[in-house]
Amino acid sequence: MNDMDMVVPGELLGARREMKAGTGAYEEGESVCSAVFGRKDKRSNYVNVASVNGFYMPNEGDQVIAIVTDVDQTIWVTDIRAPSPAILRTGEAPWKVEFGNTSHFLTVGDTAVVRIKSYDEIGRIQITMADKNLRKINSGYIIEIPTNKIAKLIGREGAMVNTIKKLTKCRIFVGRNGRVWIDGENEGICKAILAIRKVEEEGASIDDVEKVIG
Amino acid sequence: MNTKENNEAKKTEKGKLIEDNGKRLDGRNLDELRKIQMKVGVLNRAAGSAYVEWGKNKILVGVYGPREAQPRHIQNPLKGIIQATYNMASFSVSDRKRPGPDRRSTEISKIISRALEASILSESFPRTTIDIYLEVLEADAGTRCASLTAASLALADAGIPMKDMVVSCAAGKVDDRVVLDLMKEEDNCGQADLPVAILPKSGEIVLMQLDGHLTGEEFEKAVSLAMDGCKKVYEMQKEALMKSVGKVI
Repeated sequence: MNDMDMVVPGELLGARREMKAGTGAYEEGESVCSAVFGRKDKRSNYVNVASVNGFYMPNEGDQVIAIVTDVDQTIWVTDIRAPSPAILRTGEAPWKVEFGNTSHFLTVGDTAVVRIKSYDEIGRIQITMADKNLRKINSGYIIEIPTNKIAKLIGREGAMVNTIKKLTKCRIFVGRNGRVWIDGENEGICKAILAIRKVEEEGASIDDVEKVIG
Repeated sequence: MNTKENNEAKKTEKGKLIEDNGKRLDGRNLDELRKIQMKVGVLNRAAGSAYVEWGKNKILVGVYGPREAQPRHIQNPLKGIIQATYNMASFSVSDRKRPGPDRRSTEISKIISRALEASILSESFPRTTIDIYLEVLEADAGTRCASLTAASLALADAGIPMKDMVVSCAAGKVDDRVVLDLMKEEDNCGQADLPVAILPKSGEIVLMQLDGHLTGEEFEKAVSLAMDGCKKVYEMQKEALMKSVGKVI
């Protein structure tokens, strides 16, 4: 990365006839400009700007970790670190839920691995648990990292997260919303958290992570 | 001696606010900004934050959101709401300021929200709110310009999508001369104050207020001077952002 890659909001990225605006960019008149402060990256004919800091914007199909914040007769309201709360309807749950019996399955404070089913133009988020790998979380720890550090934590083809899993003998799931679930022996969980924080704060390499875990 | 008397005394001691050699009370030229320092990412709990020292002004800004707008009846299904809250600390001025909102801070909160709305791409997050808290720790004239500049920096730090940065700077009339960036004595004893905020890429004006009297010619000169000042402040904003990731342009 060099200084020229960093752009501030409003900075010109190029002409519209040469490129299209991807994430973190917008088109105005004949030009493509940056919408956020971050690093620009041109791929094929799209230019994206990866924000230095940012919040989670849901995309359909993302697997995330949700925390239940409210329970109604037929829905659960959850927090997925997005600008709006995400709604899980009983029809999208993996259980047969009778009217008014929602809190028997999930109650306030419970966590679950869910998938974004839809995110519409007025900001409503629907999530689902009706698929394999989507489940209620009953054990382990959840920590949060900035969403722009997820790619680094996962690593190339999952290399980084797989190394942490192997060395700590923990089960780890990295949600696209920056929530990370870790389960295993207490010692392993502590080491995994240390390693993840090292990656988050210092952008540690696999060798550094191996040293931290010992 | 209260502040007003103090200012009057300062003015009369020197005779006028601008010396014969064209220098102002603090030694600045007519088109010179006060010393400005900017820093981003100063608050850990906020989504984005900034601290600006502009002359003797000290401003701290924290940005929270986008988050669900509450109460729900204020939600807009088409775009997010920008809510700025400007507050002067009770110790920010020499005479203790009574804490809490007043007419002036309500007005400044409103104009800052409006100015930022022109820049933020709020259609990306409907039904939400972005809360911007601006705390004036020390005031010495020009706090609305410094606050708006700091708010824009904090929004960029928070990763909020924006059409452009917002920069602000004031010009005014002192001793019948048009000057840039008025300090306290000039603001209190001067003839006019013209705060301006722009989107630097397009030059679009998003805030303009006038307190005092200017002729048409003076007004044009003051606007042009303020816009030049804004461009200088924009460069400082960019530098502060780059420094926050350990990079300098």
